[in-house]
Amino acid sequence: MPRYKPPIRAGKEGTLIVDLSIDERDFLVRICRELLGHLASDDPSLSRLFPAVYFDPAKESEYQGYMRQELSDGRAAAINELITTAHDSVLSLDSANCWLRSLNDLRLLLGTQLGISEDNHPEFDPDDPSTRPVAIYGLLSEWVGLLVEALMDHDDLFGEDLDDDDADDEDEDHEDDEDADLDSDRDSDSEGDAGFSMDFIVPNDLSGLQLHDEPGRSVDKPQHEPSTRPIRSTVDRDREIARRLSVANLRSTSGRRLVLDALANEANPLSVTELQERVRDKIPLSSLYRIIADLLNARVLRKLEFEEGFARYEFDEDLADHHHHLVCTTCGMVVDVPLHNLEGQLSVAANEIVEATGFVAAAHRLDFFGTCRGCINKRT
Amino acid sequence: MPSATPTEVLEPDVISETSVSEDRPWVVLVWNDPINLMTYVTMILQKVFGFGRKKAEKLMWDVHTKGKATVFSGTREKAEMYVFRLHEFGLWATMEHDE
Repeated sequence: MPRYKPPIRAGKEGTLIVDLSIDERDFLVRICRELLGHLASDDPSLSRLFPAVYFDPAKESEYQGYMRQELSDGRAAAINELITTAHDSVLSLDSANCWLRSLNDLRLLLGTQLGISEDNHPEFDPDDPSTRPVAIYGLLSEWVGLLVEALMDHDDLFGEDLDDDDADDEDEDHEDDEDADLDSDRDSDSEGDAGFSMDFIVPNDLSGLQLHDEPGRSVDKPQHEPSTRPIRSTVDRDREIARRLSVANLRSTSGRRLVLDALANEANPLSVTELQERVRDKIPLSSLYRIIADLLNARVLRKLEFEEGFARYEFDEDLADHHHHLVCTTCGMVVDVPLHNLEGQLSVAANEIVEATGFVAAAHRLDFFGTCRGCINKRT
Repeated sequence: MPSATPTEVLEPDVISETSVSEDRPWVVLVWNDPINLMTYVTMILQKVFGFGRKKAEKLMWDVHTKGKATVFSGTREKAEMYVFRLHEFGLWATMEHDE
């Protein structure tokens, strides 16, 4: 049953659907701009993107003389196409190929800088800012893996020319609600965190990238790990939360941890008042609101509103198992309820909606309003 | 610029270019690297050469387990064109004469 849809996936008729958050898209644009600047430099780490072709120095020099600039221009064009389409929800295959190339270029440079080799896989440690590039590398790997899967679903694309231009289906630029109501409070706590910079990609001896011709080497190649979503264990969830905070340029402060712990210990979504009760007097109300805004912005939390005049918060959909809510209109209690039997039908419905209207549903929410057992018993 | 030579330098290139391209074809090699995803390499081989999934997967596996694989054999011009396309997608490709 298709309960989980990857954030990058095949769409209809030669399109890809991209469900990334605004933060992730902004981040993409940022690192792509840095990559563009880096391409214009003569940094030695660029060797990985412009490998030697011939063993013979004269032939090599001749080849590079007329091909290197073309290769570089093509890279820049692909990166610019990614930047142009970074905020689109639907990509043409040509644009998707530009995303693929550019994200892979970033992986190659960052992986080279990190010294990734068959035997060396640096670990991300949320408490150690110097390992942030590892998290970025992991994120890039996830996106490249998803792009490959999505493009593989379009079997007909192979052999297509990248430069064919029909990248004009950008009229459907919808964003999901959660992102839309967050713009106000962004980056409110980004001080002190160094953003990703291509400065990480320092000249390197490329030791991890020497050409190999040794039979019987380790076959332990880093593979694309299956997407981390949906999150099943709390360890996975904590790791994913750390990654999202890192992407949003947010540190794991004690205040944020208190709020996250409070929600982790609760089976149901909490209002600000309820959250404040749980964090006692450790966090002033104004800070609590700011922390919630940051966590929403980082897609760690999501906001639920049930016409009660106040909002409730819970872990973002894909940090928890997908579920729906039962809302008691008498006492205001909100309870999570998974509806496994329904999800398949909702997924069918979403496909019908795309066909009928062209609207691409990124998510759905279904809540039941009524009277809880406790309130019914009180009435009778 | 790192050398494209993995272990040893090839024999001196004493034969003239035209006779080489007529006598022995040029081959395009893809070399193992620890960063590119296996699924990515498979897909790029399909895309660039029009291979079917199975053939591309077998070549990717050769690259991965043996350190390199020959993905093309033919004229110098075509070999250059394929090497260029592989470089566009970040694969580590070189070319040489078939032995």
